[in-house]
Amino acid sequence: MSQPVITVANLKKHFTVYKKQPGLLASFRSLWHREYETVAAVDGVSFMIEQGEVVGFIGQNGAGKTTTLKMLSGLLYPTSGDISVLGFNPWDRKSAFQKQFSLVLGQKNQLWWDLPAMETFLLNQAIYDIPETQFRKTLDKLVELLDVADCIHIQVRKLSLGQRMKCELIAALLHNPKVLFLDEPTIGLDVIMQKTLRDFIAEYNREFGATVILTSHYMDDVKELCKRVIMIDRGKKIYDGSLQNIIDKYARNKTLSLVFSESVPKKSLTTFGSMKEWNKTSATLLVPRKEATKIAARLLESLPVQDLNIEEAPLEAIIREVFGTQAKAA
Amino acid sequence: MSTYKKYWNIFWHFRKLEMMRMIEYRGDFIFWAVVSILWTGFNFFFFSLILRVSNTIAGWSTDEMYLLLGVFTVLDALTWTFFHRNMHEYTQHIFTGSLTTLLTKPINTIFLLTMGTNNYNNVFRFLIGCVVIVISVQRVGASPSIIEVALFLLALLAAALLIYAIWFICSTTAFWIEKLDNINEVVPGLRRVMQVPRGVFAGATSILFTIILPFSLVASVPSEILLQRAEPKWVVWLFVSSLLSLILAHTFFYFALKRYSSVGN
Repeated sequence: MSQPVITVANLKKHFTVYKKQPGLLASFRSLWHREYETVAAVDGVSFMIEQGEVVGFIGQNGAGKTTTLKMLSGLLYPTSGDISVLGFNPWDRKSAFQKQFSLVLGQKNQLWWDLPAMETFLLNQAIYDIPETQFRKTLDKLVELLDVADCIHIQVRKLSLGQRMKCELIAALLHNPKVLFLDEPTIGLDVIMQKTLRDFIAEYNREFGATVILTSHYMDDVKELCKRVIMIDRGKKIYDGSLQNIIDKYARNKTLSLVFSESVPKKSLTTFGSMKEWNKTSATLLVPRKEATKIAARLLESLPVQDLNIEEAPLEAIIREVFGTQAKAA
Repeated sequence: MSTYKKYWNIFWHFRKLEMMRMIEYRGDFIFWAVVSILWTGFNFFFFSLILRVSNTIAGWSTDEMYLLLGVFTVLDALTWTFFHRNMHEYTQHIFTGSLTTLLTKPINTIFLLTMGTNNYNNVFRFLIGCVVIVISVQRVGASPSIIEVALFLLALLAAALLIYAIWFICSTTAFWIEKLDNINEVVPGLRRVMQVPRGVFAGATSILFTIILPFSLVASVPSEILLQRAEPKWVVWLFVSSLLSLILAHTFFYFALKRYSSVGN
């Protein structure tokens, strides 16, 4: 078994935040008296990640995902706990470490706004000490994979969001990082561009054997890229394992989509499961996951079924279910 | 040695990028270049009015005062070329969380924050300052040796570093106090202290501006070196205070970084 690339043990990050009451009077009061409270953004998280893994970091807004990524990148000083990334303590912010990872924040940019992206690439070549031949080879490869040959010589401010995000990715990957922290890389992009970036991340992982941690609110990103997910809720880890296990554990229903060759009354379907949609010649039923196959067989025997499709519940719904269960338990 | 070469290359890379950006917005450059020349003109005009009434200020003759103003103009041009915009961006990086991007780079963050950008529109002020220094030295009749000229240049460098270090310390407080953009007005607000002879200050203000916050030395001491009447203790204090301020700025930054909370995302 290979050595873990990332090891996190009992990691905590607490922030002190100012609580302001609403209203003008409260604003005046806050001039001389302010109430502060300590928020545990990350509260005792531990995990290990092997080389080449693509791990999805899932959690609601404010769950502590980005804070964890920032501590893994050496940007935030942990309140307590231990971190090792590629054998380095990130907070030491050693140049040898910084040359081996990259952090892409979907809502932040590093490209020079008023100049073509190529100028930022050349600056990064100088900052990361990338030899000319390696720089040209990697740049050509990334430009080809992301299909941005026409964009890199145009002022960044004149590019579309999708084109800019592609150029951001190139700027972040020119030094061939071994570890990639992607924080909502597809945010704000249209579905086609999301798919392009997902394919690219998968290809980069395959080609360079890079370890990737991905946070995203788009479950398609997680479903397509990550076999393993770590779920965080209010700073605590609530799940770490395969995505399929979550589906098996929390998806209670499957969806049966039916098309009939002739009209079927509503009441003859309600005995099979809970009705989601009905339109005489088509219907959608929610059935218990474990009995889906049996129910489908019974439907085929007893009704004039022309077409039948069994689908897993949407991942978003499953994730909601997991967080809902955790909230009730808390 | 290769590290120095790397930083030297990156320094010029930034200057090149800024030059390209300036060319993109040449109208803005021309406007601000004119404004900065007018500033310089008004400053000399202001002092010429005073010198018409009184021939000396704290024992400095008219030509000596113009030398002092020439030195100040060079320093001020350097300050506005490098520090003003970089320090403004530094505090913005803290407020917006974009400091994150800089902190992941395998290069000294203070270097990136200090040298990442610049203004070229002060180049004319710099040249005006240089010309005024040369003419004033000739009019005064001083004939500094090569060693004195070299010491003058070193003192000028120390003065620029002192201004930079104190400004950097002020900007670093933005880690604690949110929306502290006007912190970048503190050092420019003290420019009047720099452009008068240090002898103007007496009592508590003298202690404040020559020892604690030695802004009154930054133009006076280099000018005195050219006038061949510099007092060794003030020359030494300019270098020592500059070095101490740099060490303090460096230490304070890394201390402040520990409490950096970035922003939400």
